Amino acid sequence: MARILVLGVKVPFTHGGQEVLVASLIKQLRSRGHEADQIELPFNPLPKQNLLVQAAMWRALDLESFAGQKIDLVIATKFPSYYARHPRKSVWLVHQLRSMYDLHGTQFSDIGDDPRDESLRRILTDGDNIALGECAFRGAISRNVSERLKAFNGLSSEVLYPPLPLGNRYCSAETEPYVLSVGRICRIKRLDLMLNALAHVPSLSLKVVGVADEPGAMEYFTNVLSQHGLQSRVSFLGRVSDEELLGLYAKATGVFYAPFNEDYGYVTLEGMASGRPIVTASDSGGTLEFVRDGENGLVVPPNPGAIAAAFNSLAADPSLGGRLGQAGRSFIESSGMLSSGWDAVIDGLLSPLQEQGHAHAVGA
Amino acid sequence: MASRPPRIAFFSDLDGEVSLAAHCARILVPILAKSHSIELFSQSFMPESLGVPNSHYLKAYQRHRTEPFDIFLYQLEDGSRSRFVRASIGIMPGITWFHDLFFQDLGPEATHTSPWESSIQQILDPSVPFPDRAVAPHQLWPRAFRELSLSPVSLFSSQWALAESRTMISSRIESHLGAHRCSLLPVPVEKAEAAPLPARDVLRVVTPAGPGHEGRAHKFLPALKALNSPWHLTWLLAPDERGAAEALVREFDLSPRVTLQFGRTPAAWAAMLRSAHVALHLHTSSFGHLAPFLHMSLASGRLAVVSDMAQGEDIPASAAMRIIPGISEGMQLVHALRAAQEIDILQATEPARHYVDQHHSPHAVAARLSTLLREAAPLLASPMAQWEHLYARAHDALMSEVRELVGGANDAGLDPFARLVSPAIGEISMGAPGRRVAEHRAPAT
Repeated sequence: MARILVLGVKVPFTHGGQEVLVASLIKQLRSRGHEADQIELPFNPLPKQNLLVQAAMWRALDLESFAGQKIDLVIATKFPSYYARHPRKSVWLVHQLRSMYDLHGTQFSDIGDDPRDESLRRILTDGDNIALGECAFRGAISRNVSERLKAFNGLSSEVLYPPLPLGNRYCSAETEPYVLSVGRICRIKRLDLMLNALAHVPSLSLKVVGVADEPGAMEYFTNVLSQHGLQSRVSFLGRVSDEELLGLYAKATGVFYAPFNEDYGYVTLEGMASGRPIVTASDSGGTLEFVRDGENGLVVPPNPGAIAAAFNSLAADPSLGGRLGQAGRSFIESSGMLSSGWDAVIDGLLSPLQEQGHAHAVGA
Repeated sequence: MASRPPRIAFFSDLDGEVSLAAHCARILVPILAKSHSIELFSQSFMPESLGVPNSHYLKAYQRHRTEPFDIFLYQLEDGSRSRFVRASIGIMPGITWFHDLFFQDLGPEATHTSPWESSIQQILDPSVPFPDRAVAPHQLWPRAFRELSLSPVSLFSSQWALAESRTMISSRIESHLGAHRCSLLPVPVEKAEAAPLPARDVLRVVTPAGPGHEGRAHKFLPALKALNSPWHLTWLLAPDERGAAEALVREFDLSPRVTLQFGRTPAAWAAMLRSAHVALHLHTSSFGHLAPFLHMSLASGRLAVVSDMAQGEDIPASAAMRIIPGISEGMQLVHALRAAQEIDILQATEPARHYVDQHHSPHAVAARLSTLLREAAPLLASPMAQWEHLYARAHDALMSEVRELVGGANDAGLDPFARLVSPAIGEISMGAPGRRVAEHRAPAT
């Protein structure tokens, strides 16, 4: 059995897919008899010059052994954890620093044409080429993330979809008239599309799971609510327990999940596993690897009118939601996303232990 | 010694369905590639396009570092698909081919807070410090002022735009560096066969006009209605213009005589022209452009009607019927349409076909661009080198900022920058950007 460190990046007071992924991975490694633990460093992207310091901090860490005990493998996840040095480093890439790649030039990036910003971008792109290039194994959580890595850094990777964190517990129940939105509340998740759409969906309410993690985000969304007089039809539920979340998924008329160019999106798959129809946008990236328009969900242009039309059609025709939801559930069952997919993930991430002849040494 | 052709980094949208930039790239790149070394930079992840290598635009600096380019060539038009071009112009100055000078699209976020005026000052005077980051400029220019200022060589696809640009710029970097150059480069249009005209029993009119005020539908619809003889209008629109166009047709009660067609693409326009007598191009705004639709009409032997304003002014009176916008506009249109019913259209449009063949034929435009590129390469060498040196200084300034960020521990006798950050950055980076290219640049001969 091997001694493995999973490298996470923590933005204090936020909770997202990466935290779920790291916790699930450690649990799976331990269940297979490995000694696994997590190393986290706090991440502060501001001011942007600090990004270099953050990368350098990870680079300077000595992770080869602790208290005389050798570490057999490290598994990095997202920027800048993969800057850590180790002779056997795998990466299960959640995402890179998106503001200098796929978000560059959009309203979601603060990297401009100030020559210092461009200099920063070039240093970190070169750094990514080196830090990710030296990994003994590269996995990516979605085809979208894998294709970005190939296009921007010329590095290939194996797509290893993260199985769902709550395994076989997702279920469906009698539908109630609400839309469910799950995720961090920030601009890139585009909850405002749903809020603006809701004004034109009179028969449904909206339940929002997640907390705001961006300055001003909640105020902005509250303003949108006020503009449309929707306060009584929208519930912000904050963080909820696993049980509550399962219940919310189970009864929703539909799940709204339309971020801009999402990396992967647990929410899509959780909704499908619960037999609920997903409404996503045509520019939502990773969600489109699973949602097929008219087959197991609805894919619409990223505008409130189209989203409203999608939910109105689900509200007006319950059989449509039932058919799409059932197709989604079937897809999830056949894809290994509920739990069996972990074998492929673990095999990939741990492959450096076998490939370099270290199998005999692990656990020594 | 044999001279080598300039190495060109060509930034352009490549979505041929909707953009003028893509239309021009599709026609010109295959011709230019026969005698130039061209690499495309776009938003696409495809490794090749139009028969030449294609990279994502964010990889341009890496390609430049590996094999330096002599020219960065940008094709710029209004619209979200050219946002990456607007962003890239601020990263390395070069030749910009402007299809639009006025923008309805807000552009990428980076252009709103761009310190480009400071950058130009720093190019002119290396002692000028980098601006305080706490004082971010915020400017929303509906004009291409930033892009013109950052382009040592500017090309314009209309004479009107070229003239307009001369009134807009006062602080261009090249005016100080001795590399000033502005030229006209017409839009290429493939030669069209002058297909036989449809029967004259019904006057068949087509237009790619937008339904807004600038498209002049509120003028041409009543003018058509005033005709006594049979006519039919086919109106080519973008899908999101459907509602406005349908409302106009209803307002003038013309539903049976107007066909709306959606998908404003050059291919759709070419097909429409084959079954038309008259093409209306009455766009009067500084925003937007007439190319390539107007030029396709001129090439196809159909009677083109233009407004005697903005880009319409470029077209010789012998090549198109010109309408002066204003009070008598409707009456002029009625007269023009009545005339179209009586004249020999193919004979009347012979000068238009000759004009397009002379000025807009793909090989003529490619030859003109090729000449401009050869002339521009030596002019660009100095601004590009100075810009590279600016990046070297930016690298040093960034390191100073980082040192300041982590310098708090110095009081404890530590220097985390020297001990931790600097060695790590040295390891993960390829060295100061700019220096490397500047040192290894091979001059074009």
